[in-house]
Amino acid sequence: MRTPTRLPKTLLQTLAPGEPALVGDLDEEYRRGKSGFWYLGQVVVAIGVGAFKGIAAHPGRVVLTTAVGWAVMLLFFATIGDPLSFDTGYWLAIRFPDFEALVGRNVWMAAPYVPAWLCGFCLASAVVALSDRSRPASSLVAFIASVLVVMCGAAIMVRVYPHPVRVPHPLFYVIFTGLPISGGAGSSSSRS
Amino acid sequence: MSRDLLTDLELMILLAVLRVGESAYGVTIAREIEGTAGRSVAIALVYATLERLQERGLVTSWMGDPTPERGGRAKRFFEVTGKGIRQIKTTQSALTALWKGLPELRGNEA
Repeated sequence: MRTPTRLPKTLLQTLAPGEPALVGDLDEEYRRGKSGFWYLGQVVVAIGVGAFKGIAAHPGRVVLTTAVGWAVMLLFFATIGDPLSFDTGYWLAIRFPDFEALVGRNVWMAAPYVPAWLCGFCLASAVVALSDRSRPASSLVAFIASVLVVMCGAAIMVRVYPHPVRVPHPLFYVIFTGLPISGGAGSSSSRS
Repeated sequence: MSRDLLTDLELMILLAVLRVGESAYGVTIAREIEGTAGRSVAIALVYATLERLQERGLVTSWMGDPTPERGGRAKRFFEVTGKGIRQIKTTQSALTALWKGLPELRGNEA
């Protein structure tokens, strides 16, 4: 008897636990010959559907968990990510001057911000999921959507905002939190 | 304001439940829509739509017995209520009225 891989099923049961018969239906179809790719696609749709239902049913809770996620991400970036990335950037520039000359100073200095941003984002996502255990997919989808919106907003802003942003400045953190790889963000920011 | 007309997916799902009959659950409903109407529908979307229809009193549901081929999980069966039948007829009348009198859609010319 074919058994579906554990990861998609675990994701479904964890992130979209609303419909208990759905897991049985998916297992039944998989055992009748549907592919693993089909199973995964169904799980993704189920998580999406569950997320939007949760957002519509409890908008206040979703707004709150999204705010918590942003607070964690900005706090992480301001206290750990930014100082660590800035020092690492300088260390890299001194240690590997040839690479800096090759790719440009802005890109070389911004490179350490990517893992720092990823760490902050993963930490914030985990906090968001844990703070809404009944329907974590709703809060996660809303949080990730808000990050994507800020990314687009930051990309537009660094193109149109003509003045450098002094650091520390909340705007700098929002820009870098929203846009981890950005020569634009680097050029529109200056450290005091 | 109550919604009188069904969306295309709601209508398809209600018709599929009627066509499948007593054994209407997620898999058979999705299969019926795909086989008859040629539209592939995710099973989660079928359940989400049926839940909405149930809240409006258009379908009822009950849990069956757990079976081994489903990993010991039960099926959730659905049935269209009298109110659901009336809603289907209302939607059909509205669509038929829109359909009538259009020369572009007469015969096989469209």
